[in-house]
This record gives sequence, C-alpha cells and structure tokens, in this order.
Amino acid sequence: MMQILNVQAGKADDDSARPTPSQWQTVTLPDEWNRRHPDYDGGSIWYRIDWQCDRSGPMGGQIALLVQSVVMAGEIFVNEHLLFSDEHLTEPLSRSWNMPRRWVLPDVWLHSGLNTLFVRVVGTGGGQPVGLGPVFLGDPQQIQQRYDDLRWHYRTLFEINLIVSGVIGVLFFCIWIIRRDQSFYGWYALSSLFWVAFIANILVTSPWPFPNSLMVARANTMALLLSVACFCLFTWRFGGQVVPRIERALWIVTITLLAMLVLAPDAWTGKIQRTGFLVASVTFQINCLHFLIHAWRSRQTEHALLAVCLLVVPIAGLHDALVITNLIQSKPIFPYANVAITLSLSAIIGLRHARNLRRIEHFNEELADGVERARSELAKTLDREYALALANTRLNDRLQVAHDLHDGLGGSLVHMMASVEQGAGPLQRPQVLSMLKFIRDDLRHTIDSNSSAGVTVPATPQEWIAPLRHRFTTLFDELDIASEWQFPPTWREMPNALQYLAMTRLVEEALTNVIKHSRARHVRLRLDQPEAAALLLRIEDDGVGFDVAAVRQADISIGMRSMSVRIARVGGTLDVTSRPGETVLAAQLKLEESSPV
Amino acid sequence: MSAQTPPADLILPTPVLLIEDDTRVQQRLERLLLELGYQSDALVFAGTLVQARTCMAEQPVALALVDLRLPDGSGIDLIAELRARDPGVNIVVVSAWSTREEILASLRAGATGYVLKERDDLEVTLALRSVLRGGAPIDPFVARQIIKELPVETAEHTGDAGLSRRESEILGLVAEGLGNRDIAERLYLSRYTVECHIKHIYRKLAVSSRTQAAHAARQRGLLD
Repeated sequence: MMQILNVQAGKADDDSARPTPSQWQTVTLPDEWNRRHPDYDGGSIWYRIDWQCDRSGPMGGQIALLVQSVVMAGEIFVNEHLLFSDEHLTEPLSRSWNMPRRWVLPDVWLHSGLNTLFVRVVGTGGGQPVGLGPVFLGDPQQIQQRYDDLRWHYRTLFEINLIVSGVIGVLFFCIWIIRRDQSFYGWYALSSLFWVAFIANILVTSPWPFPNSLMVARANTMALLLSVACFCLFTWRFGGQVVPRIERALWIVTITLLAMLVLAPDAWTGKIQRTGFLVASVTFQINCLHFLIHAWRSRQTEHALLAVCLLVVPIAGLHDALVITNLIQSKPIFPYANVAITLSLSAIIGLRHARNLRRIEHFNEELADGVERARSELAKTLDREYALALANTRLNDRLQVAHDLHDGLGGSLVHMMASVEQGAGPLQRPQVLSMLKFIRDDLRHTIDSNSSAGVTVPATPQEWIAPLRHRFTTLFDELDIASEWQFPPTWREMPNALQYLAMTRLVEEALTNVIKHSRARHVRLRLDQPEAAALLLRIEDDGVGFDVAAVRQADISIGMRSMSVRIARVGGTLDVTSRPGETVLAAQLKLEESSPV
Repeated sequence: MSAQTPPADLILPTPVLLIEDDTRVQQRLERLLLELGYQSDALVFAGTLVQARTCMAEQPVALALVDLRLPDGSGIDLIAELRARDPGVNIVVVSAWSTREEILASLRAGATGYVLKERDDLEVTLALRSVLRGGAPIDPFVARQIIKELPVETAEHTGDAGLSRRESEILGLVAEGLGNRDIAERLYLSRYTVECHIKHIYRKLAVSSRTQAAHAARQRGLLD
C-alpha cells in the first residue's frame, strides 16, 4: 500500500528557501534536530518524506496523513500543494508540538508511484526542542484509529490531569482558607495549582499570555519547580516532619533556579530548563522515598497510605523513562498514575479531614463532660461553702446568745451579787426570790429573742400588747385592779427588734411590780407616738408609791435599775417618779427613721 | 390574797394525777393544789411515762397535770392516751420553757389547758382554777392559731369541727388581748361561760386534729 521510502531533513541557508540537494541528510522520525545541532538558533528546518503510493486499495484509493507533532510550528506541503500551515510561524510561535493532526489527502494532489511530503518546521532556538514527530500515511480508517489513540494519549489524558488537579487544588485551597492552622492543605493546593500551570504547557497552542516561546519555557520550568517545592512542604507538614535545614536548602535551590530562569540570557534557557527539570524530578523522587521511611517509622495509617501512593511516582517515572529511551515498548503511564495519585492524595487528605472533624466532635463531647464535671464540682463546693456559712451563722448565733446572756443576765447577776455582798441587814427570803424571778424573766427573754430566729416586731402596737394585756388583765381581774390600755392602732414608725424587746420587758417588769408591791386599784398604760421617730410609753398606778432615791439603793430595785440601763441601751430614757397615790414610769424611745420605700 | 383562800364554788375532781419528774416542782404543784382545797390522798404522783401509765391502769383519773418533757418520752403521747381513754378528763399541760408549738401540739392531742412552770404561783393557781371551774386558760397567740386552723360554722355548714359565731367572737377578743372579764362584759356573758366556750373550742381543735389525721392516714392508705 503506502510505503515511506526515505526521510530527509535539511536547513537552508536562506530561511525562505528549501535546502539545496547537498544540504539534505537522511534522518528517522521522530527527529529531534536540536540534538544533532545544539547550536540551532531559530529558523526553518525542512523535512522531505518520499513515499510510494499504491492506489489500488480496497477503499477506492483514498489516503490519509497523520502528523503526531510539529515542534514548534510549521507548514505541510503535499507534492508542492500547501496542506496546512500554523497560524504563527514567527514569534509568538504557534505550538503544535503536542498536537496530533490528520487529513485525508485530495486525490488530485497525488501521483501514482513516488510522492513527496515537505514539512517546514520552525523552532525558537535557545536550546529549545525543534523537530518532527512520527508521520503516518495510510487508509483513512486506520489513520483515524491511530489519530484517536494519539489524541487520547497526548491531549485528553492531559486535559483530565489538568481538570482533576485544578479542581482539587481549588477545593483544598478553600479548605485551607477555613483551616489556616492546617497548613498542609494550603501547600497541597499550591502544589496542585502550579502543577496545573505546568501541565497547561502541554496543551496550549499559543504562547499567550507570554510574548514568546522562550518565556513560556521559563515560566513552565518555574511552575514545575514551585509545584515540587510545595509538594515537599505538603508531605512534611502532613507527616508532621520538622526538617528546617532541608526545608531551607530546598527553598535556596528553588529560588536560585527561579532567579536563573528569570535572569539567564536566551541562549542558556535550554540548559537551565533541563537542570530545573532534573532537580525537580530528583527532589520529587527523593522526597517520595524519604516519606516512605518516615511512614515506616511513624507507623501511622495515613502516612503509610500516602507513602504507598507516592511510591507509585518513582515506579511510573522509571517505567516512562524506559519507554522514552525505547528500552521497552509501551505507552507512558505517568499521566494515568498522576490522576490516580492526585485522587488518592485527595482521599487521604479527606480522611485526615474527616478524622479531625471526628476529633472535634469527640472534643465537644469531652468538653461537655468536662463542663458537667466542673459544674458538679462547683455545686459540691458551693454546698460545702453553704454548709460552712451555715455553721458560721450558727456559731455567730451562739456567740450572740452568749453576749446576750453576758450583757443581760450577767449584768443582773453581778449587780445582785454586789447587793448581797454589800447589804447591811440579813438577806430576806422575798428579796432572794425576787432576784431569782428577775433572772428567770431575763433568761426567758434571752431565750425568746434568740429562739425565734430573727425577732419580728409585731405589725401594730395592739398586736404587740395583746399577749401582755391578756396575761396581766387576767391577774388584775383576780386582784380587782382596774386596768386601762391605750395603744394606737398603727405604728407611725416601727421600733427595731431590740427596742421592742426592751419595751416588752419594761411593761412586764413594771406590771409585776404593781401586782407585788403597789396595792394599786387602778393601772393605766399608754403608748404615744407624737412624732414618727419618738415613742412614749407611760405606765401609771395609784398605789402606795415608793421613795425613788431610796429604792434605787435598795435590793428590791434591781429590776427597775436594770430596766433603766436596758432602755438606755436601745436609745431611750426611763423616768421614774413616785409618791403615794401616783407612780409614773415614762419611757421615751428614739426610733431610727427607715427610708421610705 | 384572795386567790389563796379556797373558793367555795369549786368542784374538785378526784383523783388528780400529777406527772412531773422534778420533785421540787412536784412539791410546788402539790402545795398549790392543796391551797385550792385538795386533800393529800386525792393526789397521785408519777415521775415518768411508765409510772403514769401504771397509775392510769390502776384507777381512772379525773384531772391530770402533765409535764411535756419527761425522762422517758414526750407527755404529748400520754395526753392523747388519756383523752382516748376518757373524753371528759381534764388535762392540764404543765410546761417548762416550752415553745408555743409544743403547747399547740398538746392542745391538738386533747389537752384542756396549759400553765407555764416559770410563772408565779398566782398565775399558775389562776390557770388551775379556771380548769377546775370547767374552763380553760388561753392566750392571744393560741387564739390566733386556732382562728387560722378552724373554719367558722355557717348556716349551711354545721358540725363538731367548725367554730360557732360566739366562739369565734371570743377568740377574736382574746387575740386582741382582752381578759375574760372584759370579754364577758362585751358579749353580755358570765366569765364562766366564756371559759366554758374556750374549753369547747379546745375540744373542737382536738377533734379536728384527729379527723385530719385520720383523713391524712386514709389518703396515704394507712386506714381503710
């Protein structure tokens, strides 16, 4: 059928002309011109492919042409007929270096027998590749199959790579924005995005946005270097490895290479580019192996998974290196491996993310538990404090009782002891009895005022006097003493508890004296509140009376004397006047004005 | 003093059971009872609950003076037993330093009256005489408490438990602090009638307490 007889390449002296017969040299496709001519510095390279056309095929003799790649741009002629021309054959050069194309050749252009295919290839120099990929001729159906196959391997696979890396890069970038503390997300995202930039080089068909092909080459190498550096950082951060020196070295190397790529003259671009590729590849491979060791040591599932995943890289790389150097016959597997690795990495990172979330949830539970524990401890502490406060209050109450006993009962006792000691005559039984009774009444009072926790002053004077009135009226009735009780229906200002107790005690003591000593027929009690802050209590009887001055000295007067002291203590005065037929006790109390509420 | 002359109008119920663990106080009460006209052979003494129960078993008692704090328990239980045995017995609580809640509790258990040991002879004698006349001592605090506890009988609602209008009037005046003589004058009654009313009131209080206790027990499923 079709048979390629001869492939020749040549460079003409004049760029617009074809090489002279002496300039042609026989080559095999694919041909990399720059390998044989390292000093190539731009301009057109011509390829001449002579082939035998056998037009007696079953398909009616139609012939298709497939050109796998033209590096970088070019024109194709079939027997002097222009078949195809790239858009730009001068800088910025079109990029057909990875763009399989096929045509069905018009019958009229072909001769029976020998035909010639001329391909003009334009490169950019500066160590950049220039040449022609494999060329196939055959019946259109076979060519179409081959074309589909090439298209899959050289375009679609890389498109998938680019899309996967791009999507995952953006995804992890977003996660990193939310979880800034987990820096490995950010490094992985950066690595992916630089990788996208690197892969894009394979797919783009024009240098845009760069002005020329050399700039594209520089940018492309930079993207690879940065992608690898970011990937290294990702593995270190993910694995929790702290390697400050290696990290610094990595950055120094990367930045140096970047600077060289920016600053180096065009002629050196190719060398620096190759150095960059080499460094990036080696770094990547070493990192993958290093992480394997780290995972072995750390014994963490995630690390192990990542290590296995990364181990694929050197294996695929080795395989492809063998393919490229034609040591084994196969297709490159790296593009597949790359997609698989990217997805696996994402799964592993996702796993880590899920685990972190679980930990956060778990932490929330722990926190809730902790709060509960703290709360119960606090409750316990408060209970304890409450118990302590209660104990304190009790202690204070007891102290208060002790004080009251000391001040009231104690005072009376001391006074009585002094009276007994200094008394001139023999001690009479009634005297002793009255002393004891007084002490009894005092004690009753102390107990009453302390036992009912927080004495409340009766709401009205009537309520206050009712128990005393009932008790003494019953006695007065029995003894035929008429009593008169004049008490206002309400307080204008309430006395405080101590004043109330003192007044109660005063009435009790005064009326007891009336019953015992006065032989009175009439008793009158009267409470007045001429102003809000003053309380007047007046107790009169028409009994025999006593000599106030004398009685004060006498032992019997203990009750009255004690009363004076007691009334004075609550901010009042007690006046006692007595003569036969009229004895008056007048107590005057000053009340604290409570602020109106 | 007039209180010390034995009054002719007193009917002295015998025998008297005196339950008191302090012999001095026992002697004092004995003296007061003798002054009221009792003969020594009408008085029976007990120092503990056990002794008291023995005495009660030997002969019925007409009047009991009960100290609340006895070496082997509370006198309140004994009051309830006495009341259960004889609804007509006079029971006087003789209390030392007792709180008002204790007095109320013994009234609910069926006591007819109470006196405070700490009071002078005259007051104790008056209280005892009141009981012997068929009345009962009271004070404003107890009166107020009873007003709170017992409902007032209305035309529709009659029975043992409620206070009659007259009774509630009397309690109101006691709560104001009026003595029995004043109350009698206000209500155009005799003093003795007033005292009798108070005794009736106490009886109602005891009945009401028992009813309530039974009711509560029934509610808790302790009784059928």
